[in-house]
Amino acid sequence: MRHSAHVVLSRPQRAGLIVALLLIGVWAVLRPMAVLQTVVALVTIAYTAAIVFRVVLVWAAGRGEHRVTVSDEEARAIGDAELPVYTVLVPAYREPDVIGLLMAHLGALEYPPDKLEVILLLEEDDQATIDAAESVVTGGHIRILVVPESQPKTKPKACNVGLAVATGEFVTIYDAEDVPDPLQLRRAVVALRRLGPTYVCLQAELGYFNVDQNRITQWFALEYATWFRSLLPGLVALRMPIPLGGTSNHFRTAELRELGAWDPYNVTEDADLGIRLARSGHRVGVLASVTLEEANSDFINWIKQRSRWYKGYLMTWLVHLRAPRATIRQLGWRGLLCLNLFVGGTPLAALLNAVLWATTILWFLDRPPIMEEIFIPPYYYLGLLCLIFGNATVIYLNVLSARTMNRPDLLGTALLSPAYWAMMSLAGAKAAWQLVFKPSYWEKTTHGLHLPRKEAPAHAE
Amino acid sequence: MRSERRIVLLTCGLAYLVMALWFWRHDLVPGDSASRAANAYYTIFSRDPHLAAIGFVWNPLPSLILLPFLPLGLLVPALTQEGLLVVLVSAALMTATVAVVHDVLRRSGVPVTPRLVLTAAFALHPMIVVYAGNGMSEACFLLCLLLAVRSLLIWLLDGRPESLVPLGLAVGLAYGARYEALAPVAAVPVLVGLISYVRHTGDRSIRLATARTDAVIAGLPGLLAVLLWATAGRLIVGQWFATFSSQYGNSAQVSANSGGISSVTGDDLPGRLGYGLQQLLGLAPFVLVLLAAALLVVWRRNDLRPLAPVTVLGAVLAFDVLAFLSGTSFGWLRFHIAAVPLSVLLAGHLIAVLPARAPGWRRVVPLVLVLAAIPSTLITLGRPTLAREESEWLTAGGAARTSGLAHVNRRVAADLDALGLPEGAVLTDAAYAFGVVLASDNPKQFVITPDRDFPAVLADPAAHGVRYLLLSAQGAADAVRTRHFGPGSGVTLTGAVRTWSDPSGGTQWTLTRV
Repeated sequence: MRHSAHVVLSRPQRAGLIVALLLIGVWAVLRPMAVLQTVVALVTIAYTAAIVFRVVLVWAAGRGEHRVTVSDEEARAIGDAELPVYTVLVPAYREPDVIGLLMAHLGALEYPPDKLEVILLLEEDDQATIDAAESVVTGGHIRILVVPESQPKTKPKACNVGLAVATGEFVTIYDAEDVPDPLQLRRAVVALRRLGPTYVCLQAELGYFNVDQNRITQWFALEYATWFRSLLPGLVALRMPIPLGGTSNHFRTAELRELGAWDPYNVTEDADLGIRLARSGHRVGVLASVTLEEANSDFINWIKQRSRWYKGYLMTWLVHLRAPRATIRQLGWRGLLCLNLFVGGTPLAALLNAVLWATTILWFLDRPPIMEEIFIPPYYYLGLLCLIFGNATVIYLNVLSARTMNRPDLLGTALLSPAYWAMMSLAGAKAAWQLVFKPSYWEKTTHGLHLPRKEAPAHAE
Repeated sequence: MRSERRIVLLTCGLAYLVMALWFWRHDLVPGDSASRAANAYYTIFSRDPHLAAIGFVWNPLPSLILLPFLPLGLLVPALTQEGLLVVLVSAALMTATVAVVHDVLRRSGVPVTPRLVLTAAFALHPMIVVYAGNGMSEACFLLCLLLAVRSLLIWLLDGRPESLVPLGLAVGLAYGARYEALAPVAAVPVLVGLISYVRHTGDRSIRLATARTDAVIAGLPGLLAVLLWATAGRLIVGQWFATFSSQYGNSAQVSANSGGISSVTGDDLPGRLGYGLQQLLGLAPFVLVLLAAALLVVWRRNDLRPLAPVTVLGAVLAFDVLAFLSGTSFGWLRFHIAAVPLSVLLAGHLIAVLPARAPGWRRVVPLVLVLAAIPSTLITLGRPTLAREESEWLTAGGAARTSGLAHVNRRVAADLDALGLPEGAVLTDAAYAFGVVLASDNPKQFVITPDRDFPAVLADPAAHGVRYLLLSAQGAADAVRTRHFGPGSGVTLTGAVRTWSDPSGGTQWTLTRV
């Protein structure tokens, strides 16, 4: 596959990077101050652009409904005979405790069993989950597919194996712990038929069932509400590529296969697929239907998950910048903005935040004169604007999210967002480190932390 | 609808443009307008250009708005040197204000004829016309306040939390324009919280949480504006609220002029109350009647819409009245200007709630009450004791004084320019000399108060290459004169090489050699 993260940097990218670093190194020796000033200027401009972009997305999303809505009546109006065969892929690894719940949640889906094909994708070396699944799988429409041991052992690889045998006209992915809206498959069918063949995929909204478990899950829930109700609809409104979320994306199977499905080497194969869909001229909508997931409640576990996402976003960014001319031609300027400011910008901003805050604190503590030299006036003022209005704006938008998601009690959580950003910075640093040293390593997220202690699963890895 | 708005915009834009050109042509641009323009000017064209030169005594928005247009002064010097830019900008801002008033009336459901009459009653109100043309911060402030009224009305109608965002931003911006906005910064979130609590049903804790969050969405930008401005002032000039604590600030000016103020306004509470009431009723004779009627509507029909203008504009009026009664304000006529849009919008609401079959006179009465403000304001503006500032532009004697000062400033600038002095050769206090600095072709010859090396230069002018001190005759807090000749304006200035007097013969400026 041409656009694969099998190698993070292509040979020309690697060569370009080395040459660039050498040149910068030489320049830094000759004119260190000029290099520092340029770096500060570039970082400030990029950072400002990312914040402005975010505000524009929220603003665009606020001007009308940009999600696809299908009412309960419309979803149920379609007769069983007219429904297509739907394949649900459920990749699971080392989740023996969640399988039982999964059966209950999938059983709640309002879709005729003879039109539903559920494929549990389990790994060959994970006998515990295989055993757990075999003991509960009853319905004829649910089957277990054991993915043979091979590298890379990732979720997208498992999904590709599942897709190869899928018979559905439509296909979607749920994680083992997901609680999808029972009408989601029907809504997706109605919506995709209504939108026509240019739409190849719908991303359903993700929310959390354990919002109030602790402060981390509350932050996480607020973040998701902003993501799925403001930022993604904003991208839709501006006709930009949509980086898909890990589950509950509903595809037309034929087009997905044609596109080459998921990149098994990319650790956020979903975001990458969103960009590839846009590059091939397909459109993606956001479906107003919620799948509840488990919000990560444990600090370490959260950092692991988040660092994988950031690493994946960085990978995706680099992969799609490999042939810049083709990318520009296929994505257009809107797509390019999204790729750089959203896909590349999200992890980079998280990483930079720590550096920039440290710089600010250093300035107030010590006022080293060298900093006055590094921050030349226009960028100094721009940086100041970002520091004050940037932070304030994002906190403010979080308060607004708390209110619009009908959880006004999360006001304090929203106001405390900066602490969450500090966690993001940590994850960003870990992601950058891993991107260099362990690019394809999949940080497994442990699920079931919301379950009572005695049932807590054995730790993954 | 679109063409209606276009006609309103075009007519007002033209009328205000004429008014602005009149102020400029007759050299009547007020000192307060010129000093806001000068604050912006220093950030680009002074000897030490930096953003903080905008100063912290006055809230920055009226100056910040000018910044992008200042470079045009290189092409058309009159824009900066003669204050043309600042009056053009106030004309544009007031035109936008009229458009917002018109839009609020439309959203309140006022039928087309009374809507146009009320829009005209606002747009042609003499106070509005004067302040559209004279470059003062009133236009900027009124625009922000009316945007806040508009957003609050929209929220009262639709209840969407997203509608609170523009409300919060407008209130925050209003504080950027004038510190009186402290009142709506406090009042708006309180009203939003109360209404939100009353409107939502269900569990008490959820209602409380919703009310609190709504209040935060409406109030956070305003609070941030206050904190930000205070912190910036503290970090850069060492004062949290320079407007109250600076020697050039409002409080210092009021106390320096307290004798003069109370000789006109009276210095006891009944005296001041009477004076303030005369001013208020002069600008909007029936504002209290309209207010009572509108509050009756709120009470009887449970119709909350009038609370939008009452909360935003009423808070500003209340703030100014209290400041004046407590002796911390000049008691200018313009401090009551919010009463003008308030009475127009309240009258609009009274008309909008009338049933279709109501007799015609009930529609006419509110219009008459509002239109009565035009003759009464004309009378008030003609009385120098009530319109102390305005009479300096609108009466023959006052206009001669104002343009006389402008001419002296230009004379000083021209004479200094003729000396061909190098950079930093003249030390002066910009709080008084802004007119001279603006009028000069060589602004870099001045060392002015916002310059970061001002304190050092002031302490030892000769060592920093200063050749002359330019001293104001009247400035109570002139830092240069106070430092080198002691406090008070009556001191003898030794080493004077030149003085400049206004047409009536009073000395305005003294140049002394270092």
